[in-house]
Amino acid sequence: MDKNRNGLLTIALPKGRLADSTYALLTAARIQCPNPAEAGRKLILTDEELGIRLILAKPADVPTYVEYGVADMGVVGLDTLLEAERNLLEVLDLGIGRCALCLCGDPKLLDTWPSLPHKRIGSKYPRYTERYFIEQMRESVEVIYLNGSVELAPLLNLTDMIVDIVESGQTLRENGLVVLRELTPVSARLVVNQASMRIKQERINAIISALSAVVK
Amino acid sequence: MNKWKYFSPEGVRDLLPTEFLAEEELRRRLTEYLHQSGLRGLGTPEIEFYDLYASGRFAPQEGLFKFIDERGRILCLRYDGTIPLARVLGTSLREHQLPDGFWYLGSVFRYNEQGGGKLRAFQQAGVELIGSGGTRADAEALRLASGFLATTGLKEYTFALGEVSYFKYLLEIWRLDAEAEAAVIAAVQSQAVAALPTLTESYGLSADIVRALEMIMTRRDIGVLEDLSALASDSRVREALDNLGAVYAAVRQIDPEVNLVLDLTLLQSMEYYTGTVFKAYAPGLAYPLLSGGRYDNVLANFSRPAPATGFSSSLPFILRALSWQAKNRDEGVLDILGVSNKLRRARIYYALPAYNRAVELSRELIGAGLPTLLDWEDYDPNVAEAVREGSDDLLIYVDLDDCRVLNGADFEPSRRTDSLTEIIARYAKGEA
Repeated sequence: MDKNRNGLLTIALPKGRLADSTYALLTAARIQCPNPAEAGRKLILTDEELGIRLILAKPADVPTYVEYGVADMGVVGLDTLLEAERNLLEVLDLGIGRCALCLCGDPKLLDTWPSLPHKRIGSKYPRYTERYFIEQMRESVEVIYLNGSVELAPLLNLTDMIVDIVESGQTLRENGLVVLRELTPVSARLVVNQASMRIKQERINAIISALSAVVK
Repeated sequence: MNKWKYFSPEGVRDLLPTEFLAEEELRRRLTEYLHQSGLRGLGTPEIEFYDLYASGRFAPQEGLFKFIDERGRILCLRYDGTIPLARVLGTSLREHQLPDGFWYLGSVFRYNEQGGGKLRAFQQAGVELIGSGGTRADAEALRLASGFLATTGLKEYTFALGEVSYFKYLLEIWRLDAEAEAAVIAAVQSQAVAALPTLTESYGLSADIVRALEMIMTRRDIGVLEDLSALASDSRVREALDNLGAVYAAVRQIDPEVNLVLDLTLLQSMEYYTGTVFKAYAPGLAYPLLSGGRYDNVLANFSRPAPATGFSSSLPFILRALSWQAKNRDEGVLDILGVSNKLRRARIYYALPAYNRAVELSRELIGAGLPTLLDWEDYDPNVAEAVREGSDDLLIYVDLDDCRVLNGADFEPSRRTDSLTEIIARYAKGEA
């Protein structure tokens, strides 16, 4: 158990591309920290001198680590954040990892989907989907949770439509599906634990303002 | 009906001896502190009518444990300490002279997905100062809260001090539609400075509104109160912020050491609170470990209109923060609470004819401050050997002409009672 944990600032990053672009942003903002690209298989990178520790986590787990306070702050896609329904402070739009959460389905449904009587929707984002339809359309829908390759659901007639992130639209096109409605644009967000925000205020605010200066 | 017999329902848990002792000591310390602060203790039942909370929307219906009584009325388990107390002030204590201060400590029950440990049943303690509005009562609530946390042995905690009424007045002035208002409140609560440009675009917020929101979300210096008042140019906003500044100054002056930050984004439970609000945060704890504020409209719901302020804090949160502190200092929670020696005890084995002697010795040891268990098994040297190995207890054997300590390399087995007493004294002090 390291004794300086209170002095360390812990940042949770999603493993992969987003971690690298976040590192690039941090470097541009002149915030020194370990480089996640050099982590190999290590999950925790600590720089005692800088007092910074990086955690490399599965993207969907980042909000959990930050909510429970084992990470002071984290970087997470808005899609993950909306699904997690965690109690976090969302302080900055980092403008990276841009895509959109979309309702997709067969082109035949383009105009008619709103009047489908009993909507069945496949998604990796069940809570967000349910909430969207209740809040925006005052309608309860049946959501079927799927872990991936969600496009299969309408092709096999498991569901009428899907809610998923769309970047280039390539996968949709190749499977004969289209975007029926863009539900929300998505990009990576800087999130902060509500207790850390008050306890480590100065350090966290310094990082936020340095980053906001380089984010377009 | 066997499927669940080994399990506890979600959100509740057992307290094993060490945790039990820690919570017991915490409760003792808090009780003593609250009593010595001259507050009146008040107990309310674990079971209430659903209407108690539903009448004033004091709890979300999905947060309440509900059941039906034999007359078809909806009952619920106590959700908090404040609302039952308000009911008592409107009924049994309707003649009680106000202002006065009260405290409570008891279990509350909540279906919630929050709270770090996602607990659904836990002990909560709280203070309510009823019958006074104004700066002095606000500052006193905060002073008592600070003393409350100091009593627990916690070293590091930070108070965030804010206000809700100034923001309600700002919203009145801004006249946003319901959707925009909800979005703005959510953004401020989560300090989403990032969301401002999108909000501005979606709802056509004026430059003045955006400037105010930015100030509220980013500034933590005392000067923000003046700047925001100037921007709002509304006497009610100014009064609310002036009061906040006065509370801040008062607390600073009483206790320059306390970690206190100004935070205008503390808008949680805006419908419930009416003025100053505060929360305390500790390292290792994702949620506030203490929350409080002014709630001037609650008592009117129980036919006893009166201004009020107070705070509450959950014991498992305090213990969690204590255990974080303990880990970082390589000690135990029981050490911080000063009760680690309370787990020490003597265990007396005796030969049946020496029963009276054993009882007598146990009384003597208890009298000397060492908890003593009179063992009910026959003394078998072989078993005792095994027990000796793994036991932290002071093991003593008594028969008609013998009385000796069975464990501890440092101990000379002895027949003489006075050296036994010495050994026991050393053991009780923790030197063994």
